[in-house]
Amino acid sequence: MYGVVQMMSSRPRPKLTLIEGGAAMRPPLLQLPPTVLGPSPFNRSMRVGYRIAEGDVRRALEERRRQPILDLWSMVLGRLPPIANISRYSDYEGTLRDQALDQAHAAFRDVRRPVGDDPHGFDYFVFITNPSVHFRYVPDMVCVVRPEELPTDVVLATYVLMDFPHGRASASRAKVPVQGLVTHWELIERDGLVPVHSEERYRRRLW
Amino acid sequence: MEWEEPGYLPKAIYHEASDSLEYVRRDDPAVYRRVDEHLTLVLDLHNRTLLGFKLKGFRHIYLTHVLPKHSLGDRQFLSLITVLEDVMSVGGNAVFEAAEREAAYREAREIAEEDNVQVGQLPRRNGTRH
Repeated sequence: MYGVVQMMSSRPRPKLTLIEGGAAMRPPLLQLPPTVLGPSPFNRSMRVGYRIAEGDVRRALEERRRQPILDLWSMVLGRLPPIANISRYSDYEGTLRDQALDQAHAAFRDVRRPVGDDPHGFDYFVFITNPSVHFRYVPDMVCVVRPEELPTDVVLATYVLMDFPHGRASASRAKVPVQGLVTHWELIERDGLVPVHSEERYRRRLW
Repeated sequence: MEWEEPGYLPKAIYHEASDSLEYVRRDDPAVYRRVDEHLTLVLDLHNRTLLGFKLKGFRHIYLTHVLPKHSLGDRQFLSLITVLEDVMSVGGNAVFEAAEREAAYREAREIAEEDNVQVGQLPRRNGTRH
């Protein structure tokens, strides 16, 4: 018994830290939907859900970097960013919906570089969309963001780390199975409808 | 909320989910131009001037190439110039020709030097950051 107690006491104790403001209400901009709908990389006509890596946009916002989360709302989720008086731009709702992740026209696999614990980036998938408008921060008394047309020579790449890189078994009972995590998104110069130098960036085009 | 607060203060930010370290001078819309598997330049979306840069696979770079070469001790920060120099020496699967790649790294280094950028969040082996 003594030996067991000794063994247990030698275990490293988890370090507990106080999270300040943990009970505070999240600002609307950070009240992201739990998942975003998108095509499956394995079957373009099948719709699946992807969770969103919220930590990085929150981290950027802590440093007052606003553009990443505005791009998430307008180009990945395809919605107006939830900001005071945004209703003045409600005419854009249809345009935003038509440029969301759900409307991806190309998918690639493997980013050909280490990402976190994945030494080759093999389990990362990239969806390409062709957005025409996004929102940017502009100090204004009425609404602090405004829509801005995107240049025509760029596409949006949205990166997803799949939970089951070889595809989830079809036995899932969820109506729309959640299959991965959107880690980040960025505008990239294009060549046709895909990013420039796609062959160097990604190992394989899926569709 | 954050909108009424002061503006963006340039800082190198480590993004854990994408495992990348990004530094931009201004919080402006940007386009990302790949240089090689490690470095991407961040350009102004409209006039394509340099806003900053992104080091991809930063945890791997840091643990494999930076940490073994530098004794950080208890320091909680690292000069981004040091990191860039280490990355440049690693080489990579470049999209650009060698001269262009070198120029891209030089541009990134100039920004890091001019702005005296420090890396305050260093990844750990277990995947979390300091």
